[in-house]
Amino acid sequence: MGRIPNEIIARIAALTKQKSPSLPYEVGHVEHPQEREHHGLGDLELPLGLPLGLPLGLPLGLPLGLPLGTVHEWMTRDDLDSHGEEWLAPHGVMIELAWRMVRLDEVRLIAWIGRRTWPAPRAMIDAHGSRDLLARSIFVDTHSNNRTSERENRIWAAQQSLSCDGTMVVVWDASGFDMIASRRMQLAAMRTEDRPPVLALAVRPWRERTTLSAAATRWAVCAHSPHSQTTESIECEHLNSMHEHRPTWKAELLRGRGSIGNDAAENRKFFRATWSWSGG
Amino acid sequence: MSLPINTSNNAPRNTAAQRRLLAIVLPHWSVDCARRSARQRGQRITEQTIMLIIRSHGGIRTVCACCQRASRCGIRPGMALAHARVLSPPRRIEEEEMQKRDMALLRACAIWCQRYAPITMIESTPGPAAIIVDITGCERVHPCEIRLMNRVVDELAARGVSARVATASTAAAAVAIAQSSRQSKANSNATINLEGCSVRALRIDRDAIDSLAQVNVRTIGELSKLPRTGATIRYGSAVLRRLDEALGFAAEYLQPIRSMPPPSMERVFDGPVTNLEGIQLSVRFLLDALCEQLNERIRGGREFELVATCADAPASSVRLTLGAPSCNAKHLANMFAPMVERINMGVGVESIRISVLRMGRRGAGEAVGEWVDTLTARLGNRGVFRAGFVEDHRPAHSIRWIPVSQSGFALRIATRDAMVKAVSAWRPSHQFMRPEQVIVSAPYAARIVLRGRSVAIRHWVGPERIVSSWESSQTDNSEGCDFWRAEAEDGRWFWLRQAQSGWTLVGIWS
Repeated sequence: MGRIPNEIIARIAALTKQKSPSLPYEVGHVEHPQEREHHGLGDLELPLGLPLGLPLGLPLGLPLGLPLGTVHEWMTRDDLDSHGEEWLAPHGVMIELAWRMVRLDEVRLIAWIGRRTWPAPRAMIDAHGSRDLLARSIFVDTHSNNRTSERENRIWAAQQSLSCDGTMVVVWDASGFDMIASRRMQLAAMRTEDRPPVLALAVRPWRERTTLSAAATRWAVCAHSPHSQTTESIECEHLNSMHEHRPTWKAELLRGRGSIGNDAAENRKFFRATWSWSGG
Repeated sequence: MSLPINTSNNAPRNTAAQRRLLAIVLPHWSVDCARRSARQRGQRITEQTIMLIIRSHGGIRTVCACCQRASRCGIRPGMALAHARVLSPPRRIEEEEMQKRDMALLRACAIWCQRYAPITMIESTPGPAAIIVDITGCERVHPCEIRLMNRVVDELAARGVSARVATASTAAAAVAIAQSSRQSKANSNATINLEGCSVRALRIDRDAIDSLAQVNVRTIGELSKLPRTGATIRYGSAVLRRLDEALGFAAEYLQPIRSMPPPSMERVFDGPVTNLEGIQLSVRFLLDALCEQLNERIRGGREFELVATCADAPASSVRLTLGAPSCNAKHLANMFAPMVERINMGVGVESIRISVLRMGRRGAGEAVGEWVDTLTARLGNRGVFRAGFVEDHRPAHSIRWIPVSQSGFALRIATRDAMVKAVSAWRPSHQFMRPEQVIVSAPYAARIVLRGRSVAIRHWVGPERIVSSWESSQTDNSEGCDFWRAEAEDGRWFWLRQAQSGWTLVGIWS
């Protein structure tokens, strides 16, 4: 779940000579291996996470980034944007997270389960024209002619993909998944010794925001205007450099299990992601 | 004394009357294999990583092979691991449990070397791994031996294998020269005489080498001057036989490597069998045996054929094509199971034969291949796709979904496609199947009406004129449309199309 063991926190505190009560958040410094090397903590074996570059003190409870080996649910806040479609997945944030994993891992693949999760391929090309993400993506259409329902196919395909050693990111359409199905996904995504960790991302419609699930975090994504600054939220332009006229999203942590998001739920903290790409 | 054999590695041309053998000595073969397998497992191993292969015997761990970089640090085979650690801390230590794998890889390398000449052999004498290539009569293909030797070294180096090469009239002499040479590449100016080579290069027993060293016989030239009768009694007949083989006085027994056909397994039943479970079990046994053979060859099967001979019906055959080469019997049995159920057994199956039609090199994509096969088996060929990108300026025509079963899943496609410059134009992350009508009074309008609601627009980008291709414009007389990106006040971005028929919303950045 991305929690840092107490002995490691004590060791960091001893090294940095800090005794701040917000120390677990201060260790956001060490979420990236290079940063750990720089701080002389290169030999630390920390729980794996996808570095998000969150600012220090942001009380999300994600000091090492988005934890791997657990399920994270994402939903687009305003379903009215779907314009005739039933609902839309937050493709921009999914692409950004997948790109971050592609840069960390040079071999494994990304699985997009369910047609609703498929982004337009042109949008998966980055600003430099690199097609790495597109070339390493496998798109699974769960509408088949067999006797099983489409939902059962989605559950089965997502479980197979999470259990595969060759996948590093699995994005699946979790609409209609109940607690049992989400627990199956969580169990399949859990990290084992003989399997590398996987980033498990489930996308759901906004109407299922109160559905019970076993996911570690639940996020709401909505479009964000750079001109509408609010005083209640903490904005962090961490993902990429901001641009005046570029699609921008705001992700809000709705719910977290364990230590994740306990403070954030009270203070309604936000962080903002920018989709920075010029081609595609 | 001059030895009666042409042993120089700078012979400019072959002569048809003379036998010519190319020796490829692989001094760090075990380490190269270990490094290669580590890379295939996705571990980061560079040429600078010091690698040691160690052997544990009686609680003592000794170095049995080391890389070139470790050799430069003074580490030698036979040295205790603790001693080696003092000389240079190794980054990676592999236990010596892969000798079988190394031999199989050496055999595969010998087959690979058949691209230079049709007859290749593995040198079986003790010492570093070596491959002999008989290049006699290949002078029309390889007119210059120096160039051939350099090509061999370069092509092996490109595959992460360090090699030393030499040519001579006998295999023993070629191996001795290659083993003694300090440079990997052949040099036309350098002449290496067999006389000056160490007796160690003859690949004789260590005891014999030590005994010869006690009487100050260290080179092949010095060994050849010894009286033959006394030398045979003192050092054994193997030493002089090896010397004679090198000098061409004794015949060499070399067994050529032959590339084996793809494996095939068959089970004949005592009588017609109608029990499906029994047939499935037999298929599993056959696949186990087949995969064991594939594993020995370090290959995987890409295409399989199962033929069931029936008592009163024509033989039924089913074919299984995998996304990536595999030798996982369990996975193959799972793939074959639904196919076997559909076989027309008639009054009973008399025999089952499973053949590998196509083999391939197993790699890091084996797990992914099995995953894709499993998905395809349940969802069908039209269930698993890769995105093909067509260089077409029209948004609707630039995407092509290619079934993985058609494209033949391989990671090298990814690397080939990567880093290709794309057209620098934004496209939405989601394109609607059915564009929706939008009321826009004019471009750069402050408000648009979307699904009956007024949306304030902050920013317009465009127009981008996208015209139809010349062949479609000739048939349907369409002139193309203007596309606009519009940013709403609340941060949403729309992809709008302006045509003669009106404005439509075709995509959104979701």
